[in-house]
Amino acid sequence: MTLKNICILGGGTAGWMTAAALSHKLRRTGINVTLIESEQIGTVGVGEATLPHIRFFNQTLGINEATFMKETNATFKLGIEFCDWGRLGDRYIHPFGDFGQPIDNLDFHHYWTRLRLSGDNQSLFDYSYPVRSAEENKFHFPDNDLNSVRSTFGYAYQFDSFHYARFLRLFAEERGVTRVEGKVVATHQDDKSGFITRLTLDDGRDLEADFFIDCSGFRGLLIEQTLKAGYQDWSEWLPCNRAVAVPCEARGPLQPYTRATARKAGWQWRIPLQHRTGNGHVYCSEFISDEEAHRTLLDTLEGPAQADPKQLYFKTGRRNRFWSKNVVAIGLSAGFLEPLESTSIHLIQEGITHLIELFPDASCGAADQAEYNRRMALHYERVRDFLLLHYVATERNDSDMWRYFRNLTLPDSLQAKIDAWKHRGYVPTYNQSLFLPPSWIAVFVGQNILPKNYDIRADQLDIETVRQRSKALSQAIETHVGTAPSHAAFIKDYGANIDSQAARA
Amino acid sequence: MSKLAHILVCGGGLAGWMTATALDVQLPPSIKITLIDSPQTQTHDIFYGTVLPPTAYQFFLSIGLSEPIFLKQTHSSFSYGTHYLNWGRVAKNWVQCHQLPLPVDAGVPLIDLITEFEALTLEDYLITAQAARQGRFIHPPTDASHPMSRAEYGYQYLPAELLALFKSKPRSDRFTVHTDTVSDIARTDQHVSALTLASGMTITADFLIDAQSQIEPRLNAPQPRKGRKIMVMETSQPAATLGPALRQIKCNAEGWQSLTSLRGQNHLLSLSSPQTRITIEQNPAPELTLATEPLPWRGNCVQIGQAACALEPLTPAPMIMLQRDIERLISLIPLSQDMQVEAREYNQGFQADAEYAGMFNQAFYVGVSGYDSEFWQDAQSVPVGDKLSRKLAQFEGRGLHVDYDLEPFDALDWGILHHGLGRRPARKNKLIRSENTETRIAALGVLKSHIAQALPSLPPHSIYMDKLLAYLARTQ
Repeated sequence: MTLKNICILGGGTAGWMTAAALSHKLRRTGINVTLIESEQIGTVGVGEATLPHIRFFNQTLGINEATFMKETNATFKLGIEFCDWGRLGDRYIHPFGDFGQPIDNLDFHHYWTRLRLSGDNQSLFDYSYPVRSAEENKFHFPDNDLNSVRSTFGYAYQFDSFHYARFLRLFAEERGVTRVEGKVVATHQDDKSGFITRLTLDDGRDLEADFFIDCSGFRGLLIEQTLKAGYQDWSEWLPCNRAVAVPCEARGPLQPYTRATARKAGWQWRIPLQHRTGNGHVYCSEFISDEEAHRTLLDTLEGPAQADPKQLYFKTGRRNRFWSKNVVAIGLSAGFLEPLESTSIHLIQEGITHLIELFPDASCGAADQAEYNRRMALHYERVRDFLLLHYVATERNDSDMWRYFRNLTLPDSLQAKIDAWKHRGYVPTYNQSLFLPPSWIAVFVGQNILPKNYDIRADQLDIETVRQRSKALSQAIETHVGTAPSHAAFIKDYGANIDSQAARA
Repeated sequence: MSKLAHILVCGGGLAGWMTATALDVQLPPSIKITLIDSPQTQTHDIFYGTVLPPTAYQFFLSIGLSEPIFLKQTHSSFSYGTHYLNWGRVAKNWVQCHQLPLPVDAGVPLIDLITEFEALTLEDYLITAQAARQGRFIHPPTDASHPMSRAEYGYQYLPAELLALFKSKPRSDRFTVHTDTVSDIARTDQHVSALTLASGMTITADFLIDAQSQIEPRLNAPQPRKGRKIMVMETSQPAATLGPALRQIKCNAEGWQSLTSLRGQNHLLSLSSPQTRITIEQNPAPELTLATEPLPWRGNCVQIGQAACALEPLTPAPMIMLQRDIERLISLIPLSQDMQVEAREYNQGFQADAEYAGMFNQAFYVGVSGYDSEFWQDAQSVPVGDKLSRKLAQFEGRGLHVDYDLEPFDALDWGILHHGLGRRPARKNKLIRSENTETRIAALGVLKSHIAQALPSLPPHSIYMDKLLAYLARTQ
């Protein structure tokens, strides 16, 4: 039975990313895609940072990078700077890239540990080109010569997600997606199958479709309110349940990285865009009042606030079933994980990619649903574990929240990872994961969880040679960072800079 | 806690010698290595099969064995894969060949496109399969525009010869060999404190590696093995000319038979269930139980190779497992007597690898029309796990390849197997069909004729080998 009509409920980043992707992928199939959104229902849109995978999303749609950056006030992103996580006063950058280069097939960090245990105190982060570039506010595209240190990194973007959604809306509508303005007031299901057959809007119109994509945000109007898929609450692991966000005037050089500063009951983000800086304070209402959370945010802005603070509520977790009957939930309706490692848009992208791979026919077979749910559950769980690591790899003890984490019993899989790292610097590569070993290593070392020992093979090379090679690498990095262009100048030369007058609109 | 000082490898077969050699090459000289070699002839190494996968080249290099030495010191030849001539009762015929994955064209993997259109024949796009059938071989050229640059290759070999090669390699001073048998094992819980040998010598070690296949006594005391039993009989026939770079397998009700083309001889192997054997008084054919230990590493002792996971040599799976075991072990060599972390990580990695390797082998039997015989019934009554079910369901439903972390067999391997067995998706893939199909099929047509044009200029395997050996004799 063929599928003829798809309805996406909800605009915002999730809705329009889905619409854009489907408008491209389904362009020759004759399948109709409609998107319902209401101007009355605001979208979350508080300025977003992303992961390198998003470049592939844009490329697949044939989106020009410079154009996209201009339309979304985007800057480049080399990683995230974490402040005050391991200890107050500490800082480190989790980059898109590896640390050093393997020697004799053995990862560099084992040699670094060997040097450290023999008295050497060079930071592991000195062996990362993207870290040092970010620290000096430099940026250029990765070199094509894979032997050059200048090729050893990836990059993503920081942009205004409201503008991104608008940009993708244009893309999607140009390719045949029909936008319907309205609010859904009723849903109708087939008596036998329970499949959703149509939606009734506030103006009385009915919209029929064979398949629905629920991008209605936290409410999950279709997946939860209608189909009652259920929600797994992860507040025990990640208790933050509110955020307050506000943009402010930018100060200082344009930085090619996001900042996440740990606070006493949560953490605060800073996302530099071309026209202004996005800020937010993610916090747990058990450990701090709204009023104090707002004050913390407003008191620490680098420049004057440019709007009223926006209050958000959320519950960390995931839908029990992402795909139920003829509905797939993508975006906030699928689940929520705090944006500590910029995963929100990425999880939307994964939701869309797997939907396309497992593209349904009108009967929505159980095997397809099960496979989709298995894949998405794995993605959410692995991100959860990585985020939890940030909170527990710490010596902080200075507030109720930090003490809560000290006393938390971790999921076995996470505890095992921490133990393996501490014991001998081992990070298993078996977990096909968004966050590969270099990411885990960045957080471990950045937050002072250092291995007691190292892989025995690192002893094969004499220590003087190890020292010399390491020194050569860190020097090469310094040299190239020194001659790299500044982030702001690069954006301008690339033609991705916005007209600053127009931007204030 | 004191640092690890002494590793003991127990087992004089391929697994033991390869492991000990790997340790000798890769570990710093402060660690003592002892191997307990067996005075008896090895009977179980043949269960590793007679083909090595493409990963063998790099693996051998990492343990100090170069391809020229390997070729010169054995009668090994090259392998583009295995030709299954008549698999199952409906006699499926295909070449399970080694090749880099087919390209992805604007988001659509070519293998998926070929699966979607029944008129297309996968083998038309597999240059190694065609070259192998035609008896040809060359090393993959570095020129990326040559269709053969996407080829991969392994070897046809004899485990006994590979064993002899490792035994003859020079050893460093810290590597000692005792030829003896284990008569007693002193254990406290899962910790092995000492081994007593038949000669009376007692050996202690910090870490012990049991590479004894399924010979008793096992160093730690796990459960008895349960699983399908297989038996092999082998013989060799002299061959004046080297055959194709292709192992050939035929099946019948009793099991399957392979022909491996080596230099100077063809090796014939017959694999069956033990019950169907004809009793041979002098040399009872060796038997293997196809079983996997749930926790190969316990305490200070790890089982490696067949001792931990015994697979049918229908594919290169047994040797792939041994290679992975050794690589995994090297990355987790304990640093002291406290090895709980290493054991846990090793066991986890092992379980995944064993499951995936076993799954590929099992896929030769699931949903295939088999014979009404003990062998086939045994093989086809092994329960199908979740992961394999999902893989098969998705391929047979919509032609989708479901993959898991670091599987030893990739999307192309699985695609070749599915196509070879005649598995096809039940539903049409609307998305693939909607996109540029004429252009893509035309591009496939170009690839097909590129391959057809490139093939005649490739030399026969025998001539290539002669020239290669002559070159090696001159230059090395």
